[in-house]
Amino acid sequence: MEQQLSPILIIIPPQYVSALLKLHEKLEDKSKEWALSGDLGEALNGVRIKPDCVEIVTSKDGAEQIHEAVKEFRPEPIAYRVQRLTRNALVGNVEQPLYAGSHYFEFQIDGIKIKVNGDLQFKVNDWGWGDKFEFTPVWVYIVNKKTAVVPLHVKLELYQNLGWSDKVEKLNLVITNRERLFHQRVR
Amino acid sequence: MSQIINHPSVDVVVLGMGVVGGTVAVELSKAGYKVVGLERGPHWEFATDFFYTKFDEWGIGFMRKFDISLAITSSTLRNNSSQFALPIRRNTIGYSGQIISEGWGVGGMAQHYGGVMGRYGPWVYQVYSDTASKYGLGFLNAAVPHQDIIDWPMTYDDYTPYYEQWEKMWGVCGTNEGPLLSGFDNYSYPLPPAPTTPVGTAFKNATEALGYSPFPGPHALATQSFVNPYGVGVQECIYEGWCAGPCNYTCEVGAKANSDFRTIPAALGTGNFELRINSYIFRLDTDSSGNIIAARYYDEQGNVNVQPGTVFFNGLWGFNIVKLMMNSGVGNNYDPVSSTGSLGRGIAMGVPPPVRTATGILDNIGGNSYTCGSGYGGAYAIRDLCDDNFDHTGLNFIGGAYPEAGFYPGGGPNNFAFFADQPTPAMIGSTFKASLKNVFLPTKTLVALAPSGVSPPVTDWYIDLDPHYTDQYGDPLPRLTIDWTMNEVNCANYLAPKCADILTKMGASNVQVSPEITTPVSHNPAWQAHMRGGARIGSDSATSVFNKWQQCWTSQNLFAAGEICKPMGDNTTAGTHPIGPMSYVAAEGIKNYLKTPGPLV
Repeated sequence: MEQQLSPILIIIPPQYVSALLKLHEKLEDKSKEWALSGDLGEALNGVRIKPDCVEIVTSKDGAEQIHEAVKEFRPEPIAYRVQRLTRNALVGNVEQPLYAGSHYFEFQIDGIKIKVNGDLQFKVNDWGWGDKFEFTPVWVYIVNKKTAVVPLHVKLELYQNLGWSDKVEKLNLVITNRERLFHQRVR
Repeated sequence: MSQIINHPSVDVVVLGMGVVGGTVAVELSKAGYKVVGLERGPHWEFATDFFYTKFDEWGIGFMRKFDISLAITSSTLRNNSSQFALPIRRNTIGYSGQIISEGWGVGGMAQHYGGVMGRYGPWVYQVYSDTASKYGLGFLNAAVPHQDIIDWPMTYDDYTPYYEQWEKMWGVCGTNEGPLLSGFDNYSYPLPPAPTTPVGTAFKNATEALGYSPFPGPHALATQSFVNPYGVGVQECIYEGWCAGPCNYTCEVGAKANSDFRTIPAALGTGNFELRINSYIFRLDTDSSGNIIAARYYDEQGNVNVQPGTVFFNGLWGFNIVKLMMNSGVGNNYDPVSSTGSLGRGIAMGVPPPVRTATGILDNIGGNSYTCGSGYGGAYAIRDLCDDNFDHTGLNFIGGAYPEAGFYPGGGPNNFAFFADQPTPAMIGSTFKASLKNVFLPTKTLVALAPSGVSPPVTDWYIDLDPHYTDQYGDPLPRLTIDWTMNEVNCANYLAPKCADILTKMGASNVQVSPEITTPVSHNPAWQAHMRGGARIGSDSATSVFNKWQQCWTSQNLFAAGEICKPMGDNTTAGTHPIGPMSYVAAEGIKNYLKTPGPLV
């Protein structure tokens, strides 16, 4: 099936679309900004990857506001959490433990896990925490809902810093293809 | 040596992988049914096959290398039943020549269409009853002698939820369609419209000043990155403009919607759908009750393949729905002498070529248009002059027109289409473009408003099988007997001066209206792609082929949707939009039939 799909397409499982539309319903009148990140965010940027959850990045205030808005879905309590990621960073050819810290909670919509990270930061080994994860989003309409998504170049920079060369290569390919389109446009 | 290949039976066999076939395929495969999709052409990979060849203006625009070869199949055409019909032998540009936009490959016709959208108004769905009740049957018969108009079996209100479902899937861009069309109180098209062009703004301001109600012309070129409910998404339009005009290249970023970019990937993702390309369908096998038991098709090697199934969906392009049914002995063929029978009956022009045009020149308007009237976003439109949105008392026609202006210009042969009936190699390339630029840029924009009118079905127009010409496999071609009536001529005569008024209000100079026409104009060679009827849906099996669920009256496990199933020509520019809802109705009907086989009405 994969061979029959054009590389220009964005493909995400339809149940994610349905979950995101329900999420939008709850967050429509909220002022805080939030954006989709993680594998889903990359898929929405055209990377051929199958997400296993919805990852949202926002501010601490945003996380609290979202927590309040999705009470119906019985979210776990919000708390500051530091978690060691399953994949290490590769710095100077040396693997280093990698940590993510955020005001975190998770919940489910129709079986789809939603993870919310407020003021997300990363830390390698026992070095200091990096800057808060901030960016200017790109926009994707999930059906008729305008949705912020972490830009691919932001993820690319992150992966470069973490030494995740396989992911860098994958994202570079998508970005290059897009640039090729743009080049044709202004030929 | 060719052989017969028998395939195992499936729940649903979808014939044609275009706009409607894709919708039915994904809806049924998502519901868990085993579906096979048959497509006579290839599965283009536009990021590779097309991407590197897309600027082949001559090859694509005029040699139509992405269209079906007319050596494989075509149609024949005559203006009345005493003439000898001649086959369409050449695909040419649309404005003054013949054009045949048959789909060729996955995506179907929508590879080539302009992406112009716009719902039909309530009047189109009930032309017969509305006109008869408001103006009297005598008015209708006088305006359209020999009229053979039937109402659609469902009203606009019935179709509204299906419209919404389809628009959200297809990614229709716009806001609403103004105060003259209901259904938009708490609803807007899912994507915002393209930025308005300077000409569109001028049209908006002028029509507002004249008391009309302009709205952004809806279109299906995604203005934003978009993911539909099936989880299929595309990047936003890059405003290249090659999708526009007579070339109508397929969009290499997928922004211009077709089934290959909206539905078929989702169907493939279900695991219940098998796509078979290069499959030329030529026959439906029936049992003694008239139900379909198998579809036969030639594969690339010339083998005859037999695909049995429980339900068959005929989503072929245009006349090929009729051709396949007639060649298979399915349905009751229309007899123009006695005006009985339904298959082949009621053909009409969807958007008749304009018989009169108002033109003007806008000076110093800005923008980058060589001409205005092609390209499919950035425009404004009005409904005030279409359907029965103005009083027809004392007039001698039904329907009206849908003036729309400010489309983005195209980038290829689109530009010189306006100047060339028979373009020559001298009219392409940088020299020609430079000459156009010198003439039209940056200060002048030609604006054309063309009131195309309604071309309603009459008893004299029909499709039958041509007794002389065949396709490459020996099956008779569909023969069209069709011409214009005075209805569209009278309509154009009435509305062209109003279009000129709009142009004047826009500030155009040198406003001209083509001369008034007093006699019918020959259809040939201006036959074009937007045809309606021939296998129309309806409430009466005597005059229609399919019922409201798009189910065949005589073969209950055969469903269909498409332009040719529409009972009525329209007066908007957007023929593709209303077949979307029809495909969802058909999908629902098929699901119902699979649960409880039998007639659905």
